[in-house]
Amino acid sequence: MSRRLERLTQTGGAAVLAASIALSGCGRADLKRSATAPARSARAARGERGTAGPDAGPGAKQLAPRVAVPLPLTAARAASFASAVTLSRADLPGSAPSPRSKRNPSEEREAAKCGARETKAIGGGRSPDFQRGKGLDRESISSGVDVLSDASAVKGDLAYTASRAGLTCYAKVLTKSIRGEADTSVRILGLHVATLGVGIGPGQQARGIRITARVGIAGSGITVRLFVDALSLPYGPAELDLYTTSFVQPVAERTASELLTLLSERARLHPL
Amino acid sequence: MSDQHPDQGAKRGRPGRRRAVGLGVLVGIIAGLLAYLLAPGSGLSPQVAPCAGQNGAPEVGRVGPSALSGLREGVARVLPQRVARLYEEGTVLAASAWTDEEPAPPAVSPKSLRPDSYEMRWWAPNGDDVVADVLVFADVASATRYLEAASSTRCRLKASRLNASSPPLARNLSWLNPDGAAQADVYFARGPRVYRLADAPAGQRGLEIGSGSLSRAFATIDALACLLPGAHCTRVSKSVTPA
Repeated sequence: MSRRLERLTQTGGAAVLAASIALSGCGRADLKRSATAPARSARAARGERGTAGPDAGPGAKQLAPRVAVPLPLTAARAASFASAVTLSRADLPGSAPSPRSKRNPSEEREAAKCGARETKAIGGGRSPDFQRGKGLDRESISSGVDVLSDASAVKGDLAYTASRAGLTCYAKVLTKSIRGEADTSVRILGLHVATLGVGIGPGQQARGIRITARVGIAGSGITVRLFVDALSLPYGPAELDLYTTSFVQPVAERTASELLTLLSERARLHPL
Repeated sequence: MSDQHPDQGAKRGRPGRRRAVGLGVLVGIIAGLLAYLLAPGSGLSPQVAPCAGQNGAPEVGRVGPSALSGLREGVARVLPQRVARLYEEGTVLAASAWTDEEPAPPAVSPKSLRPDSYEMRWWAPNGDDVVADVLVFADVASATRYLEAASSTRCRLKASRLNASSPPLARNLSWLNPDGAAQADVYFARGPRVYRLADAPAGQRGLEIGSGSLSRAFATIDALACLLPGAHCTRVSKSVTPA
């Protein structure tokens, strides 16, 4: 769990820095309208077919595919698998890779105190952080693969989403981390962590967490919501992960569903 | 006292009565099913099937994924800064002008060619469903033929066509889309590209399009279309910064 937390703090911290850049160029007029989700039209209802809402919890049935692993799992095979599966710039029109923020050893130590024991990964890999859009349209998307010893280890590692204590611990560590990354002009006014589920086809659902932070520019009265989503899909002994950050509204649920489906389809084409 | 047992009398009449009731129920079920299948919102209306005008339209080209970035950036200008809630995006085929087919997700292989197009869909704060597309054809002649076909009333339900207030040479179209919702479209071509903006206002689903019911939608999309690349609107609303 601490691997995921580490990535979330990196992602969230980078997003807060981006918020300071985005908000510094905004006037109040840019933030007058809030993009609340209106009642769905017929077209939108059809478009949302096949995806689950943000409150789909651990109770939803999950039909993980049976994955054959004919050869012993090694770090090299895990890295090769991750390289074949993770997202590339071609998957995200309009995006460009951005440098990843540095690891923080003290954050990793704190994260390790949150609930479940550390599950050692055999190997894996991660895509660059892809960013697209400007100002409040800015969003970043990245993916990762972790290969553990077997499917049971994956199940245990993902169990954090069902744990209230785990979420509370997450929120505490993330708040501290994100506040540490923010500069003096950007303030974190509140942070909320909740479970998240996204359907990716019949009987399959990715699960994870959504972090919603209220970010403000000191002295301006301007606040904006920042959404950081971390979703995981079990794939035999592997976890396929998707991380997204976005302002004002989360990255579209259908986008997340399509990208997770893409990771899953690539995993099927490149045996472990 | 009747010499017929009451049950016997009932038994004698029951088979005939049962048959009549059964047939009536069956007819009712079939009628209901037909009404459901043929209703405009069911997606199975015969008018949704491709017709001649649609079949003759040219198709978009195929390009590598890097070519889509510029298309996405152009279309995203229509509703920037999270004014509306983006809910779907991806590439589309030419037929989407009639079928309203959802945009396609990214291809499994990063090297695959994709349709030379991009579509984004938003829910506006007032509940309207807004769509913006760009479709790129092989040449100007193909784009012109597509514009003629796509902005035509042929192959559409309850359609009307008129000239748009903006951008220059744009066409407006009102119709009932395959979901049975009233929809306002604006189309214009610039070189080999055809742009479309559509607005399906909230709460306008039914069998007819009321007179004047889409006037606000047309005003919206004709103004927003000026934000698309190359629109070159000459008369610009104060709230719109032209492309």
